[in-house]
Amino acid sequence: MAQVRASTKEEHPLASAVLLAFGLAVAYGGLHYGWGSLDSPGAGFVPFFAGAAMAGFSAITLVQSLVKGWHPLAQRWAGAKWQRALITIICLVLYSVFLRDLGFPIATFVLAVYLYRMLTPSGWGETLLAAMLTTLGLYLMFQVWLEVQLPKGSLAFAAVQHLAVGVLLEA
Amino acid sequence: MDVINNLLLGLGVALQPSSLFMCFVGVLLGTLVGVLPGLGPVAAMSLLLPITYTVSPVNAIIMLAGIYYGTMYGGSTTSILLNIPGEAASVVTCLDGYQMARQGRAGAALGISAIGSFIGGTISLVGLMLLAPPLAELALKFGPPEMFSLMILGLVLLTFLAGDSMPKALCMAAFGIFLGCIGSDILSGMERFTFDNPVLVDGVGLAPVAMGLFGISEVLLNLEIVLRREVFKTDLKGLLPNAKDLRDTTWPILRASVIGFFLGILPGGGGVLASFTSYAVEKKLSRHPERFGHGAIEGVAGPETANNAGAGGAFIPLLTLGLPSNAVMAILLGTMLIHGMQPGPMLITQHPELFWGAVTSMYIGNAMLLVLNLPLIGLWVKILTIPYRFLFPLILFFCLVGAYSLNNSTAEMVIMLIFGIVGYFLRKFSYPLAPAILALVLGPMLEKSLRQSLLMSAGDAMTFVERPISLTMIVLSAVLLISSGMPALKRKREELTQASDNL
Repeated sequence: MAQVRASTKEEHPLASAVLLAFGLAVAYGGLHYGWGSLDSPGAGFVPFFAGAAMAGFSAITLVQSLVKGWHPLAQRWAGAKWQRALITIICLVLYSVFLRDLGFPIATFVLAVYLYRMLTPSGWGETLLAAMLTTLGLYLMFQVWLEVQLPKGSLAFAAVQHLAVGVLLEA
Repeated sequence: MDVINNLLLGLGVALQPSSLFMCFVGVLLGTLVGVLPGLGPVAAMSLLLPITYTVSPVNAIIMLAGIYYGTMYGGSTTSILLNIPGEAASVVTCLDGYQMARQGRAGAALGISAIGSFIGGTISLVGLMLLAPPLAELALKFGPPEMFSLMILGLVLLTFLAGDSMPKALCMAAFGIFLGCIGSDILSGMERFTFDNPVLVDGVGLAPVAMGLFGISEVLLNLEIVLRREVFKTDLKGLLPNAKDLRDTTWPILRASVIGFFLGILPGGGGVLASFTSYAVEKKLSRHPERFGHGAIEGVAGPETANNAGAGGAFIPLLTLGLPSNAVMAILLGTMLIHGMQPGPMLITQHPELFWGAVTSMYIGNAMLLVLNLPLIGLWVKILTIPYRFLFPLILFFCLVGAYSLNNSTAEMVIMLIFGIVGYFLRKFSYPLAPAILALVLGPMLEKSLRQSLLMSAGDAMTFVERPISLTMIVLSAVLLISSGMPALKRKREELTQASDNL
């Protein structure tokens, strides 16, 4: 069998630089909240040191990468189908944004159809069946068994979904 | 006598129908997670965290613990049949297990793996039962300085083992401490890093962060690569090892039980270190070390026993000191805190039903796993053939709906997705995630201990070195930090992490 995954052991200055900047920002935030004093540490005491530690350790890895040299950034994604990951995360974000308006069954069904067709498009019949079973299974597990109040969507969507779920459960 | 009374108390809890059911669900899911590559115990426990909010604390711990040691059982199946470890602690099982399968002895490999896991798990539970109460008594002597130093030692140990770059691992630990600072300060009530967003006033929860960092990022990375799996087609007749196999593996199993248990206790320890160490020991002690790597049954029995024994040992620091020894224990700690329990030396006295109920349910869980793993091997093999294109949507939906269910809010989903993206990039640049999760859970306690210590000592930082227990732990931490730069040790750590990263 084959398992293809890019090996990324060498350091790259970009990640270290980003974390260094982030650490400095956190340390600055800690100062802003008030360091307090040693006998009465303030709210910013631990954040300051956490940020300073992040910045310090990132500086070490930054120096290491500058000294040892690094491969081009694109090599970390060489041979990888990064577009799938990107499209997936966009879909998940859209799902979160529209979940309340569309309601759980419709939003989940639509996303499931897309995800099941993403890797290897199969027949539409198989995809729609898998998406329907997934939506129903999640609904039964979370709404019915665990009594989580899943969003029903706006009025029109809610009515359609209520009808559809009722028909499926009756069946 | 006390032990017997406590066991009876524990049995009274563990034999409740609801507890038995949650134990069964946990070990079944754990075996499934262990069998399926691409989802480890941390990710699986993260996905199921929201479900535990709806059950009692003891049942939540029983289920999550079942998932943990269940994955140790299940991980051996893919190692032996696919040469792909189901989870990190089964990496070394690939070396000899797969070779045994190629020689037509897959059944014996799977069988001895299940039997060794059962024995290792059981012995480690006996150790847990005997060691935990006296250790908890010792921990009662701990004040805030000792707790702070202990947590620092735990973080340093985990970073020592988490990756081949200590600066990166320590950077992640600091990142986790920062994440723990988001929200209202426990002492002053001031809001920190909330940016006037009411969602962040209570901080970023463990569940969305863990689901994002481990679950979502894992799926995103797997989507990028071509995952081809060919299940080794072999006859699975004869799951019970023969008399020679049992003779050859008796001492390896017993040794591995002890090795695994004590290594599991170490903060930063657990199944991975235990399995590697056991393999190295068995190879060293064997009269025919050249057989290792070519189908030596000791090379399967030892590591598989050790990783289960390590799983049992890992509960000791959590339940007695309130210190999680690895990312899995950090999730368990977070769960207990969410349920209003404070793990630590008082847990055994304040909540004996939780401690003894969890311990006795692990005995029951180990027995269930032996039953599940031997007769149902055929079923697990069939599950291995489920295409990933059907699995990954389910994982994603579990994450999404699980995150939503935490507060009936899409805000938790957004937090999870943000950490999914963060986790994706961190893993791309080889930053280990376990220290971040451990530090997220320990961070608030660490901050509280530190500030209490300084308040008590009127700002005298020497309080951490003037108290002997605290000084010991600080010295140990310093030794580890310094030794991480030593070339020989660095090579050993790199070998460990390289094997884990080959997942």
